[in-house]
Amino acid sequence: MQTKRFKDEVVELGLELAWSLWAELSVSGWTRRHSAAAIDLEPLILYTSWLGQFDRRLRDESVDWCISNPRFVSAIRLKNLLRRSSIDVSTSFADFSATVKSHARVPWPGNGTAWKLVPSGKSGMVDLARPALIQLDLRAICGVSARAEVLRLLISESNRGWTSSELAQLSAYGKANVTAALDTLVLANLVKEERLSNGFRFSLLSEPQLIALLGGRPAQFPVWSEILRIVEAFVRFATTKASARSDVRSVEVGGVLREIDRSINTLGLTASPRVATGTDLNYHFDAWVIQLMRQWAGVPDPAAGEVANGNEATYTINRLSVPPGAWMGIVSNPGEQPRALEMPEWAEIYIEHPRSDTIVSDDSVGAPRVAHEILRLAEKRAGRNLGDYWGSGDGRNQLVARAFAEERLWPMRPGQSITFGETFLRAWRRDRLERLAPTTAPSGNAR
Amino acid sequence: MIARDSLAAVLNALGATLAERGLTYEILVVGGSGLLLLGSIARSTKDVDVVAIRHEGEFREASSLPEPLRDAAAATARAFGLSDDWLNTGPADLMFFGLPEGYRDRLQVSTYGGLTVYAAGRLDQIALKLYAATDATRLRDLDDLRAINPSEPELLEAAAWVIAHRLRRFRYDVAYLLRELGVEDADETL
Repeated sequence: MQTKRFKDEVVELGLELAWSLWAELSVSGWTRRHSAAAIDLEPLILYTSWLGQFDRRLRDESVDWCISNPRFVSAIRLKNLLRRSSIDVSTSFADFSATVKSHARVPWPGNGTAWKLVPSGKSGMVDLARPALIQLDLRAICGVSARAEVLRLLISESNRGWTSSELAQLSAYGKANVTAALDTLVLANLVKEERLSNGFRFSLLSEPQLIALLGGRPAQFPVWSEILRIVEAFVRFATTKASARSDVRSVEVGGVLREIDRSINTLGLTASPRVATGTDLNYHFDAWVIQLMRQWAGVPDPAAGEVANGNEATYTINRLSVPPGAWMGIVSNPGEQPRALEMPEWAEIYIEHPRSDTIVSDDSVGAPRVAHEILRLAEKRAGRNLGDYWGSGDGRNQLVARAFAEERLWPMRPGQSITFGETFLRAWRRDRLERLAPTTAPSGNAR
Repeated sequence: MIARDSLAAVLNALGATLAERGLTYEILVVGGSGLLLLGSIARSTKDVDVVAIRHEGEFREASSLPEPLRDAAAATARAFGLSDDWLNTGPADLMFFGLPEGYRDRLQVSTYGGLTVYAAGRLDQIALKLYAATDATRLRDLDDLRAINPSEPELLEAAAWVIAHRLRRFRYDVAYLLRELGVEDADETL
């Protein structure tokens, strides 16, 4: 059976996510948590049309935005994404589309029943200076077209060589449209075309100029079409699958995991509940769902210490796309400017010529060393000295750091970032030491 | 692999899920899972072989599982860490060529919510295992036969069915070849 808490939390996080993304688009009255994440408009519209059943104001305000800003919306993408959507989304979007069409002349797909709506007119002008709105910025420059979507994707991973099929899949435009867009972008010297053994690869040629023209790029380019598909599956599960039997619930969980398999793979996520089976799956699945949804909604978990309460130091770890899988961290101590996370030995080695980068390689000890460094800094703020990674703590430092890397860092995909609070890090380390206690004798002053 | 202890749990979960979805199915199973249900062997099995589906009181050859059953079985597979095809219709052609005479009277029935499972009886399982063991590459079937510990009369009765079954299959294959070679009434002539 779904506990009320689980159901409420999943719905609430689903709504938080939608509101925050719409807030970036200038829908009023909600916290913006995605200023650094590129928004993808059409998947958001489709998702909101379905999620709006849980919050009429969200539904009406998003319609209001669409009525005020139809020129930014791609009817072709809506149509193509609808083909990949669930029946529930297709049905709800039909009514959403009908409602928008009753107030604005748009060639949108969907033929449902419009609901009565008096547009609130609260949707402000979109602020194209916001990095999160790079998609709309590109549309303002290139028009609502495959060209704009292709450029967005090329910018998202500018050092990667893309195939036209990959670009077509992720842009939700047809392959012919994408190929034509690539041809013109190559002609304009914005995109480089390279012939490799198995076909052509495309990458951005004039990135700095393009970024300058756009006024910056967001730090993250989440694949919202897949994320929102997963969130929809989670919310649907939490609100409809209400078996009182734990074994039946685990089978329903199995059904959800199958449903989102492709999206999970596309996002490069680890479906952590896979390790649990039978009725144990329920507990692991619920925890995983809440963790993922919090992460996507940008809502910290106070119980896990993943919150900066103003007096806490936070440590943001980025897993880089280039070099693939490498690590870079940001340390934010209260009242200080954020600074790059550095390995202690760098200070000695690079005295005369400081490193120009703060990247930690993704070799076998890269993530554990990053883990140790943030654990060390968190403990240091509480007056404890952990010592270094290699020699101190009777080997516990390495064991704990490796465990943290396995649990929290290695599952991250390139391009992902996560922020840990100092309280959480200390609590996590304490818990891990307790679990290690039978096999490892505690010593020193680091406990 | 599905251990003896967990087979009931898996079928219970699947059956209860079907029931909650308002679905009911009746299946006839043979092979390792059937023997596990009879309590004849102790080893694990990798799948549950469905040889027929009961519809309106009649067992019909199961060439494929109905979509809702397949969907629920796949979800069960994910929940219990089984392979996607743990519930399959691999040996469905056994039904086409006929199970041992009187098999219906020997079926053992177990009900798991919306799923009713008919396990072929001891004599039929012996016959099917003996038939499978005639394939020299299937050593496990011989081991299963030894585990069942059939009596000599049981083995001889099973052997008669195996020979007749093999003959029916061989006759079918020959008829097919004759039809391919232009003998239109091959089935009747043979």
